[in-house]
Amino acid sequence: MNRVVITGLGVVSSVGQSTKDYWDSLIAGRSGFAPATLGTAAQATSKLVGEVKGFDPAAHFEQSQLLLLDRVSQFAVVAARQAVKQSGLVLQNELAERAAAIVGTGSGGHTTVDEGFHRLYAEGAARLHPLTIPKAMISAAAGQVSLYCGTKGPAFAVSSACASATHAIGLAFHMVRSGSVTCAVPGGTAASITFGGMKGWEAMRIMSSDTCRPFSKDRKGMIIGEGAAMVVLESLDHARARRLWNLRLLTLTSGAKAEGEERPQSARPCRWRPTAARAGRKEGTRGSGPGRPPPTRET
Amino acid sequence: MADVADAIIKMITSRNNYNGGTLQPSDPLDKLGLDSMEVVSLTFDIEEKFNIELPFNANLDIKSKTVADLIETVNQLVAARTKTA
Repeated sequence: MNRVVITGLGVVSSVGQSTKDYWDSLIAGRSGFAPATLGTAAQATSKLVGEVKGFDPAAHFEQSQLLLLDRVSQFAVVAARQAVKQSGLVLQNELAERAAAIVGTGSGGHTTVDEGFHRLYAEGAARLHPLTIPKAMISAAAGQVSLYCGTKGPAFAVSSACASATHAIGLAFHMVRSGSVTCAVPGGTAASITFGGMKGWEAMRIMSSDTCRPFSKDRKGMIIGEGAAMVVLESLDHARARRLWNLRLLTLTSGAKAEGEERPQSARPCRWRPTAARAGRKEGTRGSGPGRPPPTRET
Repeated sequence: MADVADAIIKMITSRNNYNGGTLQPSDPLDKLGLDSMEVVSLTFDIEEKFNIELPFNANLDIKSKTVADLIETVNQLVAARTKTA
């Protein structure tokens, strides 16, 4: 089995559109929550959201390219490009064939669906744009990351609510570890701050009226955000062959829990128990913090 | 009729991958340089502009069709729509 390392990071978020800006915001305790301004989303909710303010698609893509890129894919590609650039990987020839692109997302191209359905139902349009499906489908972001980063190995989406990105990275980890690929560009992306999307979240009555305080006793709920975070994983041997040192090994031993899943507790996608904890090992786990009150009944 | 032809020619020549040069009515549609995405996008733009439904399937062969054939089809569909309106 290969050891696995992270050699690249990329992020597009409400508190930074680069890893440096993102990290600086975290250290400064800067919040990205504010009233919605995207499209007609503000008409659907008065709650705060985590929009990627100031994101300029034209700064990253040609107009003709944007025809095929929903906002959710734009975020994923921009973050993936950052990660690949930081990694220094040149995804060509055999390495490209042995590189995967796996992107977790909960709802795919929400903006495309929302705008398209508005045209049909509200405006009485006779047809949708022919690229509606390629933009909206849940695997769109994975396909676009593959195209823009040059990976030619497996490219697919992983969808498991709020755990989608974690599952995507976990799956990529196992693929690199087993040797089925040499490297991978996994991560997650989301862009569902739309009129319809926010109406859906409002209907669940789980959104906080002020801010998101996961793990706090007085937490009031979640805040809908958007953005993407992508990483580059590769085998330790491959990284060392590229003369990369000071690497931190990535060790994942458990699945991710879809903490954000809002169905009844007993119907969660998986019941999670850290295998690391069972084995008494000191290994990282991922805590999901939607900030909902604790369940009244443990299942 | 000339308006239809002018509009279609403009839609074709403004595509990114268009071969360039002067478009001739006798030019085959599959020799214009457009990729498959641009072909379906062109179809959409024509339908939107003229409020018609083109009997086009991206899986079917368009090699035997020319720009003139396309313009003629659109003209017929526009005429049919105007007649029934």
